[in-house]
Amino acid sequence: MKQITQSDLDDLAVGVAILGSGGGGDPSYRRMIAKQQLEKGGPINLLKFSELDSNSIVAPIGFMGAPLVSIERMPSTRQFLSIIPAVEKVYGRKIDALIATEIGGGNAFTPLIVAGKMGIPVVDADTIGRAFPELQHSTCNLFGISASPAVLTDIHGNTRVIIANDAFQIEQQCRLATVEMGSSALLCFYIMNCHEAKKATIPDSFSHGFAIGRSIRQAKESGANPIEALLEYSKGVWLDSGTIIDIEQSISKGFLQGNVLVKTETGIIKISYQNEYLVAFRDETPIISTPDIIAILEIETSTPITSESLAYGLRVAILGLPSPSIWQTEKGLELVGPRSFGYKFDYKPISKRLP
Amino acid sequence: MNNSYIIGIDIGGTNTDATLIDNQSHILFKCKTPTTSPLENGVRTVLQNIIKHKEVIPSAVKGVFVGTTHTTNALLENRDLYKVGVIRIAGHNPDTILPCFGWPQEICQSVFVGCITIDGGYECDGRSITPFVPSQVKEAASKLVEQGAESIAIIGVFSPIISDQETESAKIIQELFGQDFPISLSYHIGGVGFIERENSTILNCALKKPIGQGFRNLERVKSELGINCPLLITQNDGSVIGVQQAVNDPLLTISSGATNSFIGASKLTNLRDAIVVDIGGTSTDIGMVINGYPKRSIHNVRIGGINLNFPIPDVLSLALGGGSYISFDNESRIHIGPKSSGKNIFKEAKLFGGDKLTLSDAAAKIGCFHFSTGNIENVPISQESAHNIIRTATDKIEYCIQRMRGNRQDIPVIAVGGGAPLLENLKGVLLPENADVANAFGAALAEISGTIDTVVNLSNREETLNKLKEEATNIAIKGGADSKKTTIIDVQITPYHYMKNQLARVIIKASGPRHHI
Repeated sequence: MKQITQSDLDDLAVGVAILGSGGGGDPSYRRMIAKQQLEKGGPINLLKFSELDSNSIVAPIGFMGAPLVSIERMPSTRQFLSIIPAVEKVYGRKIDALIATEIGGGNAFTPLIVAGKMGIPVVDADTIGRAFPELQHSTCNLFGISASPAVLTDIHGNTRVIIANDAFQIEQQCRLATVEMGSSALLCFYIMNCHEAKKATIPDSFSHGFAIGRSIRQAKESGANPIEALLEYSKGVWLDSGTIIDIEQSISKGFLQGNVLVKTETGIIKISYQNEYLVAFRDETPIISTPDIIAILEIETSTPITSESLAYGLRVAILGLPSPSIWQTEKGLELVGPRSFGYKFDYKPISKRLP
Repeated sequence: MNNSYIIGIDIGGTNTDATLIDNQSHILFKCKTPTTSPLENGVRTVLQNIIKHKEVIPSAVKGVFVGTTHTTNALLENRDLYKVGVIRIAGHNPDTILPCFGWPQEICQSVFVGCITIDGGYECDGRSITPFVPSQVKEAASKLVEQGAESIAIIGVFSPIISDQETESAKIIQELFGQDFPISLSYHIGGVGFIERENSTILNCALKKPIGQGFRNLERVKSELGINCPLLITQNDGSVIGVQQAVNDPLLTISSGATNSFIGASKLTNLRDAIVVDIGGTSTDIGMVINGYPKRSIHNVRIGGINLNFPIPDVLSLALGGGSYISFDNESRIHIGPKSSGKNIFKEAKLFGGDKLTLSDAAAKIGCFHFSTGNIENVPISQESAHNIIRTATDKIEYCIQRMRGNRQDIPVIAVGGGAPLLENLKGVLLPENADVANAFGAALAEISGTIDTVVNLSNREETLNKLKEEATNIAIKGGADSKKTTIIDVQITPYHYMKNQLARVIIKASGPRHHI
């Protein structure tokens, strides 16, 4: 068992902002919430599956909605306290541990905050390995775990329970509810037992997040190039660098959607996003696409920039990191490949796109 | 047509400097005097000097531009700040992050009185989170003032999109405590991002105290001397604002000192890309100019350890300057600063018969600094010891230069400020003529800007934005900016997500150097 420290939270914030491919929400706000929780509330404990009783019930938890909303209309304590009792009431079982719905972005912190408030542990795992915009984009869905009943709470602590036929319809129903709840809601779904969770989730995702953050921090401390240190650890590539010259965005159907244009030495790179950066184009040709991870870092400080924090005039590096292997399978690509988001081309791994 | 002038003034922690420039940006005269408290006395001295020595006709002065580190110093030294009460308009009570979370404790303790959360605030689609109740504003404000608040910061959820609850709250508070009661509204200070906007609003409130009366007095002093042109204050982005706006939004001026010295250094050397080291009496600022403009940090903007949400120049600051106290520990190791004699150097330093050993004493001992008064016989250290002190200081500065340099190994370094001669013998360092008044020169060169803040339909995005950019550019040109050199320096677009027709609040800023008079 690991007790989370304040400096773990700092490393994690950097690591998961990169894993989020621009989505999952800017970790800075959730990190502050987690830090205030550690400072004023109880400890937060992180377990491995092997340390969990085999009868345990595990609940993935995270925010759903537009990340921009979560940095302006911050969550309330009531919202965090309401969700687990509601889930227990619906399932008629005690929830023994939480995991992250997605390790990418601010949602990595969500189970840590709730766990601290409820006095239960978090398991070192998540159900995406990065961040994705919709609820069917989950390893639990690939492994046939039911997404119903899904439980949502709003900022006032009001709860909705949604039961639907499959993960796609859970997404549609929950999205409608989230829009009504102000385009951001706390969500708990794909509830499973420990045995199922071992099979259907991605293990060690928090450890991975800490390690990425640490690689950047240690490079900074030793005077090495932090971006190169990150690429070496994560086997990624440096696609290009330039200045942000336009950001086109809207909150639509509960998502933050748009395009960001980066002027580089050789031309313009357009990155399309739906919460997450999904595809980068040079001229009209895709140079990287989902499920590979696209990271935008401010070049001088190596700070990852999430989609709601994009700003005119920022000088940025655009990086590509390989996707978790499970999404590169045929079934995985059917769910999260470029065609599933409406693009008319096939996925080509980043390692094969570049010379 | 050669008889029109601009005066640039820099009010630093130690000295008040001034330069007189002609319409070709040549420096005709410069002078320095210790910074005074109140500020206007030093400014009167330099203005009188200029008029007397150059026989300038006051009506030929076309602009007096003032830059200052006064606000920054007030914050860094944590003195002379208003106590601030915070009202959050947020019906759901977002207590998961409390105001001033993560601030340095000392500043938080001396500024933050308390926070009261009241009903109201907006969802992103324009619905109220809970209905706004005006009587709660009255209660909250009264309670905060009772607790010792001298000013009130008001932050409403999604106020950058809908600001009416904030403006209504301000009205209620002014009815209660009078028109002059200091208030800051968050929608005025920044965009979406509640915590950074709240931090900025609180600081803006606190800084109204050191900047308020002092700045109004500057204007009076200028008029008393018969100078009738506008007195303008330089802001963080290198352009100017009027005194009233500086008094309302002191945060806009918080980095003007560094901005001016970086721009001044670039113009003194005609180098458009360089690292600039400004060694003053209290501190040393190290930054970079790229293409003639200070390199900005947009993300992770921190001043005095507080996260804010507007662009400022990227500066590394060292508490090391001409007035820094020198001490030795038990193992004879040299310690420089962080305390400094500041504007009292002419009383406190050994050189001038005082009892404090300062960096200036050591520099004078080895002939690096030259003072018209003072006696190096008063400095009770050996030549060798003085050399060691200077080396310790330059080592510290060199380390910061390397950090700022990153992988740009070939970029030149410009040393400016009163302490610039410290770096005289370092390889690759340029020491331009008039280096000692680079920041006053930079202030005199301040740009004219034009801002458009409007709500438009963006369905024809490119055309609409281009039209607004042209409008902002035209405002700057009308204000006196050179039409050939005016460029767009900022674009902020905040969409109204819930409205049809892609309505958005668009803020565009254009800025350019002054057209020759």
